[in-house]
Amino acid sequence: MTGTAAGLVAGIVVGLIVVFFALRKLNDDGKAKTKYDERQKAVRGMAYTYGFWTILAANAAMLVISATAFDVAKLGPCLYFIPIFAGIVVQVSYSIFNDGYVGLNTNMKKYTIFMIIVTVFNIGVALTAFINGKMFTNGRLQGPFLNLLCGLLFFVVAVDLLIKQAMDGKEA
Amino acid sequence: MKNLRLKAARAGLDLSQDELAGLVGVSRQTISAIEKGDYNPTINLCIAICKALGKTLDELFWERAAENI
Repeated sequence: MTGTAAGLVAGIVVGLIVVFFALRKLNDDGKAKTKYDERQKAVRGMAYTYGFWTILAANAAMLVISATAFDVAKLGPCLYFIPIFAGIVVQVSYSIFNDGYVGLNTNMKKYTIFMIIVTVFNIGVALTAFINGKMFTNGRLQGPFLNLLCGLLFFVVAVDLLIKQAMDGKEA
Repeated sequence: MKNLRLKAARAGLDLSQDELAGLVGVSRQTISAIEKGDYNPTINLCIAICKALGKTLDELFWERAAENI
C-alpha cells in the first residue's frame, strides 16, 4: 500500500469515527442511529432512488462532456466526486421537502450548529488552499476543491431547511 | 381523501398534532399527512393512533358510504 492510499484509508476511518460520535451528540437519545417513522422511511426510499439515478445521469453527462467539450481529467480527483455530490444534493433536497430528512430523535439546534461548523471549516480549507495556490496543480483541480464541494453541499442543505421551515410556517 | 374523523377525535381530546405524534412515535408531519389524506398509514400505525385516541379502527379509518359521495 502506498503512502497516499494509506492516508486515504486512515482519513476515511477517522471520518467514520467522527461521524459516529457526532451523531450520538446530535441525537436527543444519545444513539448514533437516527430514527424515522414509516412515512419518513418511504420518503427516504424514494429520495435514494432519485439520488441513485442522478449519480448515473451525472456520470453519463461527464462522459458526454469529456467526449465533446471539456477534458474532464482536469477535474482531478473531483471527477469521481462531482456525480456523488449531485446525487446527495438530490437525495437530501427530496427528503427535506417531503419531511423525511429530520429524524424523530434529531436535535435541530445542535444539528444546525454542526452544519454551520462543517460548512465554515470546509469553505475555510478551500479558501486557504486557493490563496496558497494549492487549488490547481498543472491546470488540474486538487483535493481542496472537495472541501469547497462539501461546504456548498451543507450550505444547500441549510438553505433547503430554511425554505422548508418558511413553507411550513406559511401553512400553519 | 381527508380524514376529518381523526382530526375531530384528536381535537376532542384537546391534543395537538405534535402531542398525538409523540404518543404514537411518529413525526408531526406524518399526523398532518394522514389528516390531509396525503398518506395512508400502515395498520400498525392505525392501531397505535386508535389506542391513543380511545377509538376503534372503524370509527377512525373505515370509509363510510356517505363520505365517498
